[in-house]
Amino acid sequence: MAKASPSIPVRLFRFFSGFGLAVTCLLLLLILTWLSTLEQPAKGLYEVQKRYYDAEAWYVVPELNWLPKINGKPVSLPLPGAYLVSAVLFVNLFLGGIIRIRKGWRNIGVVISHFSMVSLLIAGFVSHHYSKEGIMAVYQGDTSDFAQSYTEYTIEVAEIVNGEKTRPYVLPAERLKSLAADESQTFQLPDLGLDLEVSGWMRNSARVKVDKENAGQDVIEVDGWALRWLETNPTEELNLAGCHVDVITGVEGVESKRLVLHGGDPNACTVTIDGKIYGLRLMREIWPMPFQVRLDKSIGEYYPGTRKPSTFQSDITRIADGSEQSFRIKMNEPMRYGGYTLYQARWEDRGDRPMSGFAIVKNPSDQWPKYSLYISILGLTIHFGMKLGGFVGKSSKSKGKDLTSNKATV
Amino acid sequence: MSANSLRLICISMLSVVLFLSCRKAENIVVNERRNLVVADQGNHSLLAVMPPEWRQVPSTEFRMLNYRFGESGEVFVGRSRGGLLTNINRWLGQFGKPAIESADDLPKVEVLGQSGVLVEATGDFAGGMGRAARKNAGLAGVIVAIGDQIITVKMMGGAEDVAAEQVRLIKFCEGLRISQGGSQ
Repeated sequence: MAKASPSIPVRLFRFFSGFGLAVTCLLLLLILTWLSTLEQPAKGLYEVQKRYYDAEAWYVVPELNWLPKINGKPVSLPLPGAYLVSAVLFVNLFLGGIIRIRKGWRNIGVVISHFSMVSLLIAGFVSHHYSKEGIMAVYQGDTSDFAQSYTEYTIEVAEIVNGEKTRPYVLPAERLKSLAADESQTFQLPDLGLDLEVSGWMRNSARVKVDKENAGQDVIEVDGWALRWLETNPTEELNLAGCHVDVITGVEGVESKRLVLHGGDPNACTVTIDGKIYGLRLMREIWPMPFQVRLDKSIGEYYPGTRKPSTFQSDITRIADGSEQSFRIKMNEPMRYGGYTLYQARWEDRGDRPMSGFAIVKNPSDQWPKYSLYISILGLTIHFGMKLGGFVGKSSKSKGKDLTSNKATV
Repeated sequence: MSANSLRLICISMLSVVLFLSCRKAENIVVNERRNLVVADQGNHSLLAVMPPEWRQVPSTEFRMLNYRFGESGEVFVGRSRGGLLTNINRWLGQFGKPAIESADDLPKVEVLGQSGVLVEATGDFAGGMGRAARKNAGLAGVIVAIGDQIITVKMMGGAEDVAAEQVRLIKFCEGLRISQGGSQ
């Protein structure tokens, strides 16, 4: 009698929990890591991470000069994005290594090891979506209470009262960075009664002086300034974004006002609407800290003849909840507080006062990879321990048998 | 799975893709505010109350504070070298005016707790410092010595525009103050 073919859900389950898929995913991750590493020197870390590892990167087409060419064009070889592959691997490990696997004492080590890999992937997911990173630059003797993003630009809008900035409204950086040059996006600020239409987004740009009369028709000039598009720098931190903003009011008879904003501007551009002054600034996202850091002493040294620091350390005072505590932050010796990790990433001394740059990371899954590895060690130790025990037991049994049979022969 | 249901799935997926690609970007409502930090006090220690008729534009290397008014008027605050008289005569020289030997007769304006002098000139501006020559131009500016530093507040534009803004300029100079920090 012919065997009935399994139903579609059963076939899907088998496919998603199979060894074949696990091996394919691991090979793809290996290839993606290798290709992205090769692309990194030319394209830069930020760009490569975005193209290969972002959740939105469903697929990636490697851009490498040594790929074979057809009609002068490099071969296009689309590969699935690393995020997608990791998601499939997660499903595969969960279904195959935890659900489908034969349960029992003999497999307990293998199940634990699979669980550690699943938890490692969960840690990666949490870190990808919920971790935040910025830099706090402090000069010796100064106190700081914020970190600033390395790469993400935002537009802040604040009312200025008696010359002082009030708490600013922050436009979402995620949306701004996804704007194309020919795209516009309206942001509504109902509390201020303003709409901002952001257009002409440039990832890297320069602010240039232009003569109103001689400016070309396609040049948007405001108060003698315009933006010039620049090629994207592979080091994302060096790119200075730029855009045009039309400030639209709900006030009758008040025309919309256009501003040219540039990421390199040290202060805001203002518009006055209905007697109120609003400052708008395109800047790297600011991240207020729940504590202050006073840099008491910053010590470092450069490699001879270079501006590259060979060693650095900082004595700081952390001020939080009305109390002060002193710390020394060194290479590989960060300060941890309230879920934040502060480690020194930069050091600079231009003669006046030395500056320490602290990378601040808040990652809910900061320690999870470490715990996953411990679980993995435990699982593999149990598994191989049992195998070894079994092997030793078997060997001694067969040795005993051999001895008995030898005796019988004799 | 029948061919019909497969066809149905394909058509629905295609419709979703077309819908997503054709839809217009929706407006985004922004309610998120952040707390003030030390960086919000500005890049220098000067705090100014700008009249609403002016607009602030980005600072430059030589302009700590930079404003525009009307069509082409500008006001900027900067630091300068040399003495008080040297700077006064440099400004007058830009309008072809003769140098003066003493600042005693010039009107006084209180700036940052010190007595500054008001310099005025009208006529043809000779150009310089990246600015084009201009006929019928006006200048009104305040120069003050604070310790070993010279602080200048210079307003330039059409002669009539500058005359009309002079009261605001003086009020602006008198309102300048040193930032105390911690403006939470």
